[in-house]
Amino acid sequence: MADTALGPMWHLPGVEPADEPGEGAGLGSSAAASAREWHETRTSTGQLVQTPRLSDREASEIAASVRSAALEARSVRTHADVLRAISGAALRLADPSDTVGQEAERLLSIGLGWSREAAREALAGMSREWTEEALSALVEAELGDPALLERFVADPTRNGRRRTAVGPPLVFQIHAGNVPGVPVTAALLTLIARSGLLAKTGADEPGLLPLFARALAAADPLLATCVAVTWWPGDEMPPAFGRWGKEAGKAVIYGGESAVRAVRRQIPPEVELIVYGPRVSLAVFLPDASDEAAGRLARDVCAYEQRGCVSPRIAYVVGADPLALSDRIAAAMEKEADRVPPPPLSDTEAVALRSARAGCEFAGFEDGSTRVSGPPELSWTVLAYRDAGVESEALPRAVWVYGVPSVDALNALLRPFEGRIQTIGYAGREREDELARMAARLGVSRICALGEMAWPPPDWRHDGRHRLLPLLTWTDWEPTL
Amino acid sequence: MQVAALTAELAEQFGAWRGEAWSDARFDELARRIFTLQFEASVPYRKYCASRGADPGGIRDWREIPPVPTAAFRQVEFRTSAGADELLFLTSGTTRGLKERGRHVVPFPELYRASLRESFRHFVLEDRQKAPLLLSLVPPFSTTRDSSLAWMLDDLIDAFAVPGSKSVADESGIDWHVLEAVCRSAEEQEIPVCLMGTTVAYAGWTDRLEREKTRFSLPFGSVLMDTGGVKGGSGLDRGEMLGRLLSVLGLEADQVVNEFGMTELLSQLYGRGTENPPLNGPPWLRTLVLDPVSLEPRPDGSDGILCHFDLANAGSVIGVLTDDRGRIGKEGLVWLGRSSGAPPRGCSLATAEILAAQDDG
Repeated sequence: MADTALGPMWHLPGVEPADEPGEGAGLGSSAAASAREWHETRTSTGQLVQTPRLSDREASEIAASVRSAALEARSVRTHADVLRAISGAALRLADPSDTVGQEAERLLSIGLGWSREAAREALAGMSREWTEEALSALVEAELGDPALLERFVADPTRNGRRRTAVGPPLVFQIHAGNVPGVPVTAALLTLIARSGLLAKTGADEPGLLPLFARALAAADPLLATCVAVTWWPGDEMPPAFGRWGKEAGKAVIYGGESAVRAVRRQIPPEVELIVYGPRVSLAVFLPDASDEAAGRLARDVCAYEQRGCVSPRIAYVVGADPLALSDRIAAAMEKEADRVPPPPLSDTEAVALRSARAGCEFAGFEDGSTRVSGPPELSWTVLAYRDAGVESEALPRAVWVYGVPSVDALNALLRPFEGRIQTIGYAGREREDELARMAARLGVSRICALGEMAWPPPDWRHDGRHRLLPLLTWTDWEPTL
Repeated sequence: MQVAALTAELAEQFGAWRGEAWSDARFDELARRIFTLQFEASVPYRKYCASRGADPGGIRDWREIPPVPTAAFRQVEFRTSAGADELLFLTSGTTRGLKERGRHVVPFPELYRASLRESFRHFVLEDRQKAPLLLSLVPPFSTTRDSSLAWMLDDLIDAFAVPGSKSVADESGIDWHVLEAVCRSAEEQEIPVCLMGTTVAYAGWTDRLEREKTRFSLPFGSVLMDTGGVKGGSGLDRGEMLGRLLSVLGLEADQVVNEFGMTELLSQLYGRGTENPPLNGPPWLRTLVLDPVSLEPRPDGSDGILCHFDLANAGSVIGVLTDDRGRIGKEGLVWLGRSSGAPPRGCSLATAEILAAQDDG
């Protein structure tokens, strides 16, 4: 059992881990007789997750204590202190030689069913954003001078004026949980903004953020008390957590339409909402794309088990034969499956994959215009159509390949997705200017080389917007003359 | 004309059925003969089988006949031949943003008739000599032109030819006044009634009857057949609604028959009771519960996806792999719901969802 023991799926200052059901394991243990009541769910792999039910009073007390810790930290910790502590704690999650890193791997393999290779690769990929260097680069890119986060700084654009920028004492976050590590990155940004964090994790991957908070507690106990994180069932907030939404200065939501709508209903209108809504990503093979680009697409598809909004679901083949290219993509997907074995499928996923395959297969029986590739056990799927199309589904390791005569035609085809495309990864140079202009017109937040889609640089503008700035509120000081 | 001969033979066997079980050998012999004809007659089906290394010579058991996923009906028409009075049924509307509707060609309506009538006689009328008055709450086929449900209810009304039997609906909806007047007169003359409608129609009627404080005491031998059709997430609790309707109509729970049909299948399954009763069908329809990933059959009592082999589909394709989850228990098949499309994945969106959202809006 020691091998699979995991810490609690929550980190709530003032609520003791001793309250934990069972023997101090939040995942895979059963509730012991205890005064405390628990929220329960199972991850997609069937693992039990338990988090404490809080009374109104407890939820308020937690919010008050996180708020006061955040305010205290502002006066006793410098920006550099914060960066060092949070980056150090986060990087431990991605260190396979560290006990924290080993627990992070187990969380992904037990909670999500990911192979060790997939878990390591995801953590290593995410941790590229967690280094002090990367975080400093992000602060500098968005803010210019990091000192603005600590004190008034002379404004070079206007004589005599000084400015400072800081987040509200409390930021409330609701995570989707589809990409592990995203909640950790969001927590780092919140702490950089010098805000306290109240967070709800996603049911599929509830563990990494609490694990980060525990690692932070080892490095800087005060900063760790600036973080409260837990999970509760459904999109509706239990009344106790409704207080979190009310007491926060800003709320950040990651998730699908229904989750976003539910939060909008429950947060008072005066709390500013920052929404990272659902998006899709695409790949484009320009006419002169090289053969090895198929391998880079396979890497982008398989990264984070295709759970991210930066994961490509469709590949457009401009001015070349999509069926021939789909063979190369299939070979690359096969290779990727050998290198990083995919997690087991849920029944729903298996049914949907088989249905998608059948649709593609039969669509081409008359004229040979489609090609289905993938093993019978459904571990990966490539569905190629000679003609242009836009359909795809959010299924694991599945990519739709469509032929399209020109970038112009692609532009017309993608118009319904304006504002909904996160990333376009491309290969080849012919007509790349045209492609980039199309991306800007469609509100695509990033266009990059295939193979790089899943790993945006730290100063990438998620959903086309800044990531730190929206958390901050500016104070301009125009001194008396 | 092997196909026509086999069809006639099947229709005769269906017509002669009096509720007895068929041996596996009998089903197997017929299924493999039909498979051979379908393999030879249908190019898309032959290609599909060939790509799976299956052909009539290599099949040792009907369970090895390749079933076609329901999604395939949206792309091609499976047919063994053209029929003079052939029918074409379409599946209902869009699923997960896909616009194509499934198409089921029925070259031999007489086979469909035989399967439908005999199953209805056995499972709904319980082999009674005298049929009740049949009242359909679904518009007649002549107004819908593509609904297998409408065709089926029309045919039952024709088949049993009880005077006064009819559909009380048209394109504009159900005529509640006519429905209630017929029920009232049946009640007064002590003529048993068989009501046939969708769950949604019954929900509407229940609300109306309760609102108007109308009550009936339908005669002994009356049946309420619910053809289903509730989408998940509609918030409608079927068992609760039927309970209310029964009390207003003066019926007992064992007078409710749940009819389970799919456009892709020409035979139906039936269960008695309000709460998702176990389903049973005629012996020419067999259902396997499969592992969704390997498609290997799972033992009775385990959950899996449902795969039907329906000999009434002799004119199209007999093996149909569904998106439905279920399990086979001692009392029959337990339907556990439809697995509809990809599960939600946080902020990662399928283009199909964006398209579907635009269609809605």
